[in-house]
Amino acid sequence: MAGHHSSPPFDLSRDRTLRGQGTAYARTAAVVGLVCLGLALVVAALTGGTARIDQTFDLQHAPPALVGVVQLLADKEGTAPESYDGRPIADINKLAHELFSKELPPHWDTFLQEKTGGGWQRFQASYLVAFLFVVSLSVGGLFFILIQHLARAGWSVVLRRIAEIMAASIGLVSILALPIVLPLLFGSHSLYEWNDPHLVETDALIRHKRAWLNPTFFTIRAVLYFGVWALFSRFFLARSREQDESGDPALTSRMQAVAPVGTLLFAGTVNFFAFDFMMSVAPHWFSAIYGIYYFAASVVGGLATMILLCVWLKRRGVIGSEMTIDHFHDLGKLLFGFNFFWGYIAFSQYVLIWYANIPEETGWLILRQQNGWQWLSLTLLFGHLFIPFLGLMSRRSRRSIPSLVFWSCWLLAMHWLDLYWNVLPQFSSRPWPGVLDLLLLAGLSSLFLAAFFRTASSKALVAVRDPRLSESLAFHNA
Amino acid sequence: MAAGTLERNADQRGGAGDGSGPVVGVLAEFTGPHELVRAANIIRVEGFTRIDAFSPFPIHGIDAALGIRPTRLPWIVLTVGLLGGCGGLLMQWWMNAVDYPFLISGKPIFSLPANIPVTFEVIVLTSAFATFLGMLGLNGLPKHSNPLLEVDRFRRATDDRFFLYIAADDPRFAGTNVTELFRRAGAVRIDEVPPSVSSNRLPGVVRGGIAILLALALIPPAMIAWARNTTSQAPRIDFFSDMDSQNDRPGPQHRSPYFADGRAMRPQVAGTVAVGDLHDNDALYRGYLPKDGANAVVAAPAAPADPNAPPPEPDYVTDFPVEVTEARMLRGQSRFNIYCAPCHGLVGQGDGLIAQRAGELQEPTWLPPTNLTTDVVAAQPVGKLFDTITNGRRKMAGYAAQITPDDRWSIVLYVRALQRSQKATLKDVPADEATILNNRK
Repeated sequence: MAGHHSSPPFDLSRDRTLRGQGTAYARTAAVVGLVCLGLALVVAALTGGTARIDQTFDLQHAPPALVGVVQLLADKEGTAPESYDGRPIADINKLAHELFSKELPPHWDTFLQEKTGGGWQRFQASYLVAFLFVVSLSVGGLFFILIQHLARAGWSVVLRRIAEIMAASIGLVSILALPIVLPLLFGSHSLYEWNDPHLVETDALIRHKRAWLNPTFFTIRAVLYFGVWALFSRFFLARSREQDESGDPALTSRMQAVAPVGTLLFAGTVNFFAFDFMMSVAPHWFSAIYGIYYFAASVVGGLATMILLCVWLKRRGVIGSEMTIDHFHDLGKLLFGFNFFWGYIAFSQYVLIWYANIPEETGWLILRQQNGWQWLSLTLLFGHLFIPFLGLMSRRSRRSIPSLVFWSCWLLAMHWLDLYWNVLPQFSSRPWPGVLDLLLLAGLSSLFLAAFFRTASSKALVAVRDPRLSESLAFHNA
Repeated sequence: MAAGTLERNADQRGGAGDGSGPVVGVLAEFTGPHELVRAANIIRVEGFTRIDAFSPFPIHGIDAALGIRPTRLPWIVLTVGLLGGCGGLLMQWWMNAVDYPFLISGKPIFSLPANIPVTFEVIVLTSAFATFLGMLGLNGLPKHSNPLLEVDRFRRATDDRFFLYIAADDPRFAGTNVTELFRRAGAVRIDEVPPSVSSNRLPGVVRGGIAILLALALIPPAMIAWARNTTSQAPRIDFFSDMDSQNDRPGPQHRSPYFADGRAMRPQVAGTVAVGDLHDNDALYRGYLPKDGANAVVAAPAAPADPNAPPPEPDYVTDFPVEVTEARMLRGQSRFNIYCAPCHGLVGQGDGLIAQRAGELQEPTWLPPTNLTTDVVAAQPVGKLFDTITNGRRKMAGYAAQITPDDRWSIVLYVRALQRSQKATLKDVPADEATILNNRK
């Protein structure tokens, strides 16, 4: 077809697998991942726990909660609050625990403690962030498959297999949930304070939420979420692989028929997964849009990962010339659009809380506006929203592989930082990520890649007999 | 492709078919998209720039073949959009923070989070306008005439033929045999395009109409400017007067010619009771029973016994004339906390916030609110408590106007509970509550 961007005929016999390297990659990635996890544990153990309350009490400048406690102590001892001036806060803390530990608001002294960068709780929080990150990549992949089948899309056929494998990796990735769920079943409440029996007894709201936030139901729901995702992703991957052999169009009809139900279940599970795993670290807070917030972030993460994987696979020759710059262009457009969607949702959440100014909602945001966290918040605002928006806006930036690789890496980093910003302020008064966080990110990401390669195994990485393949090959962005 | 006929169009309107007369361009016809693109490439390589292609459907690759550069429109949209956004922000700042400072929900007068939604929408709006109007502008639209429409064959451009056009004002037009070039490029037919018969200007009627509309459009702003800079004695224009002026309806303090005393407001006829006003249950509405007679409070003694003795007390009721229930107790608690606690305190010990503040200010005329839990008050009958709430006592004003009689009795019930609470022991506490209190040690 003269004058067109002409595509060479599709070579069916070409080897589009990892050519036996898949297992090796998986093994390497798994080893790297476990080593990073081990190092992270070591770092956590070495850098110790949380309390650093060796400041002295100053009546004029102490926080009101502390002043209130000191007044109670003074009443009890029959002295004046001024008599406590200059005494180490550690002493006051001990005294208050001895006299009042069951009457004061729960965790009244947490603000006194400068949460340092180590310890088991800090490890758990960082692990949670990295875990949410890798799960979001699979979730993003699953979403991509669902909407492609919903819309009966033809353009994406050459790269859909990558998304299918990413999504189906959730089966192995869900094992990584065990370090979060198992401690809960054994009564740990360092990550999720709603599991603390003392808090359940004294805090009316936690008690009220106990029906939902208890270890048993939490575990059942976790099994449900991962089960649904694994079920649907395996279904789509298996049918698509079946079609590699048979080329049967009925399989496409089946996948399209399942997509609507899958989408509804996807919406429900992703929403509540975000509530359960991410939002419940702050059980006194309310935000209805939170599930959508995580969903939007997942799509961005998933698309960025897809771009990077496709570039790498093309570089290695696994995917041939069937995937053109036009396909990357569309991935870039989706990335741009969904990143802005994320920003829109994030701002929606922010502005409603800001406008109503209700203390039970603003506390969460105020925590992220002080003690240095405000700089991280601003970094997210500019780094996750404004700069990529301007950077990915032009057509040229989306039709350039180096540009797409750059922005995908950037957005993946920002996506992780966003999840970090959601979880860590509840656990740390030091805003900036440290070695522990990066080790856990590297570790779990490697394990995700190991799961990816394991799932990819030695099968083709392009849907070679999809009925819509020709549409995809001829796809040409205007 | 010399198979086609290469004839000049002999049935052109208005211009000559023989090469004389002005020509604004040359139109070549092709049979298919591939031929068109190939020819476009040839024309472009020859160095022609004022060229265009026409086809019934979009053709991939025609942009590159014609040498059309990527449009500047995105930059126009970006610039206008960002300027629009700044304008939106400026508009909000001017309106809400400078011209008419408006405090909304206690937020800062110029608060960025609140201004973002409008700014965002203004960016979208101005970008949309820029896209649409910019596209029209860059395409030179609307064009009111096009010389190509003079060529009858050109109608096939929306049907089944493909055309290339070279304008006569192209720098290379003069020095090239364009017809020969098109023939070599494979055109099946070549037409010369005469100048357009119709003018490129708007029709006179339309121009006149627009001029009139613009003139008329100046009238409302002129009227507003005039109104803002003059004063007027005339009453304001009332669009929806509805029942604003009811001339014959008598209002408060109005005269009326129909009554002897001339008043439109009619006092209550002597000896009547308004509906709902017959409070004949003295225990309920007064808290005491009159000694004799309907309105007599107390029978005047034969001789005042002792001028310094306190006046004899009415016969206050000692039982509640309303049903005592848990709901009433809770109602009493809520009403007490609203009306009484500011002075008397939440436990009724006279340490309410107003009393504390007055203490800080050391007001010499301040009479401290009574401690309701003292034995003196606890010994008072409920009717007396009711009477105090209704009519006040000493410096306390009566709350009859604010609190209904039923609510007053609820408050009295709660006060009794408060009084009892100060004498209670752990034995009085219900079993489940007692456990929690014990555990709090």
